[in-house]
Amino acid sequence: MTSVWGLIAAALALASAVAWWRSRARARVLRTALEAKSQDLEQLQMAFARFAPEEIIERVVAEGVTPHGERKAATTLFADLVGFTTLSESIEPDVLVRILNGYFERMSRAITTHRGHISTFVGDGILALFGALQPNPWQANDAAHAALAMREELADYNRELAAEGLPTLSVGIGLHRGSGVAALVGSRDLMQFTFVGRTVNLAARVQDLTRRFEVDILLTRAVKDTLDGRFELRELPATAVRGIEGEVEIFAVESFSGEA
Amino acid sequence: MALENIEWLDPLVDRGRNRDLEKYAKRVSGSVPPHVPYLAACPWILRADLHFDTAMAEIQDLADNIYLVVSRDNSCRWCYGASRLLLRVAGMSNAQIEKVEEDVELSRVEPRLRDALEFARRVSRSNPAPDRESIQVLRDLGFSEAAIKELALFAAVVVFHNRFATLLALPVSTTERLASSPFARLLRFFPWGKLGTVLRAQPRVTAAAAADDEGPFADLTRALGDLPHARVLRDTLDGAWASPILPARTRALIFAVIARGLENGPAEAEARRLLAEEGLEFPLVDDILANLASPELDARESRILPYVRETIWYQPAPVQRRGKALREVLTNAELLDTVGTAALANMVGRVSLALEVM
Repeated sequence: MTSVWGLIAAALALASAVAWWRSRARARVLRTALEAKSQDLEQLQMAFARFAPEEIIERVVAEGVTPHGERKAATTLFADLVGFTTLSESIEPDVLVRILNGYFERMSRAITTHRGHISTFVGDGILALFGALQPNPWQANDAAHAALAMREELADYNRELAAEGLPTLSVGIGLHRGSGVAALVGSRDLMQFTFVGRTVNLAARVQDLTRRFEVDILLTRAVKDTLDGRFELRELPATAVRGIEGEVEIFAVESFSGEA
Repeated sequence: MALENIEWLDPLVDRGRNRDLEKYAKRVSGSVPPHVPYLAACPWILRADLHFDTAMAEIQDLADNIYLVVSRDNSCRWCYGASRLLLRVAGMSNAQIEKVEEDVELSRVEPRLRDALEFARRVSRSNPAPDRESIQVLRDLGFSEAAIKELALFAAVVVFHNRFATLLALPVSTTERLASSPFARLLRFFPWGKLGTVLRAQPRVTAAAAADDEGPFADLTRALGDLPHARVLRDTLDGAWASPILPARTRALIFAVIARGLENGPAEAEARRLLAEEGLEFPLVDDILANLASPELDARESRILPYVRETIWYQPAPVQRRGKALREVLTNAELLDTVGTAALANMVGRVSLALEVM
């Protein structure tokens, strides 16, 4: 009888040991998986910091997406390819995508080098912001330098495209400075950190005017007023634009005489 | 999570010997810390580094966590590695440290620590700077005015450490290796002798008492009262201004640029006052600060000012590359003095923003 109880006790002890060992092993696996996920999350958070302020990312991580906006003064750069819609109908889709990606790559580099951040790509258009992520009293200079860098990058890219026998590109860039609301906006499925307000609309309208005046970079009086005097500008006639009351004073950017 | 994956360049400055400085470091900390040779050409930075330690009057219990979290926030591998090593030596395992970080990240810590850390991060980032509401949260938790000031000041002290270590790309491999080593906990049984005092030292105060407070940013150091680090800050500002490497005008310009970048009106006003003493008046200063350029700047200042603006918010490797480019036109000592001054200006700018809303 004793030996039966002894066997039962031994079997129970063995079963407990196996269960304990299995749960330890399982916990170890889960812990490793959790650490890996935690590292992924950290890296994702660090990557997101390039697109939205850290505080907003942290708030999203801790509380989910909650409505929060901040009124800021920022400089908006709006760039659009001239005649790209027509071009897109005449070349193969794969070639089109390759040309467009090469263009975005170079323009993004020019913008981020000068402390701008890209809010969104709209078709072949680019909306970039200066001073929306962090306070930046030099935002107008940064945006104008970015526009000149985009001009240089595009000239370089066009040489590459021409060498391959591909059509070259031309761009119109509009810059405006003003206040607006910086916020994470969108739907539950798609959010982006952007700047909302008249400033963005006006930059887009000014960009439209580059076609009419046959220039590539235009900026408004609000940008000019805080711009480094070493930028060479050419004043153009004040022009009415859709959706904006009165006429808008505009200036074409020729060059910069100094070190950027 | 450790920061080992963040790109970090080789040190931007040369190693040197300064026997007086080594003796001083030994007297203060009981040994010569391994980064002393990198700071040999600009003694005031090392003195500040040694005296801005984790000894607190009001918030001693929070100091280690603030140091760890703010350093991690600023991606400073050097400070973060040192901070982890200290916690390991104090007996914590890597898993325990990671648990603390995770708890902080997910706000699973007690309210006093959680809100203090949030405030410290806000001081460090200054984007946006702390407001009255964030200070009221601390008051409601029972923090005294002196404790809030000390919290703001200590967060700014970490900013100073993070900046000079990151901007100079001080070597990180040994500290990181030691901090991750399973044997790090055994180091607590090592007979550290006086070295232990550097880990938990009372600051060696050499500055004048607060009542006699004069010199650059005296309003700020007076406002900080009798806090131990306030007196170290006074001493550091005086030490920086007495440094013969960069002229006072260049130093004041660095402070003005950083104050402008942080949108800190009072700090900019003080920097302008110091510039006026050096003969630079409005509207020339306005012109310089608007564009970080002017025919009135000398060749060295023309390179330094655009660089120091990059020290306000940065990613380590890109700002280290900019520092490397600057090193080509500055001497070793000039780069050290520039980086130290930029680090100090970032510290002053951030703590004064916090104090302004108290």
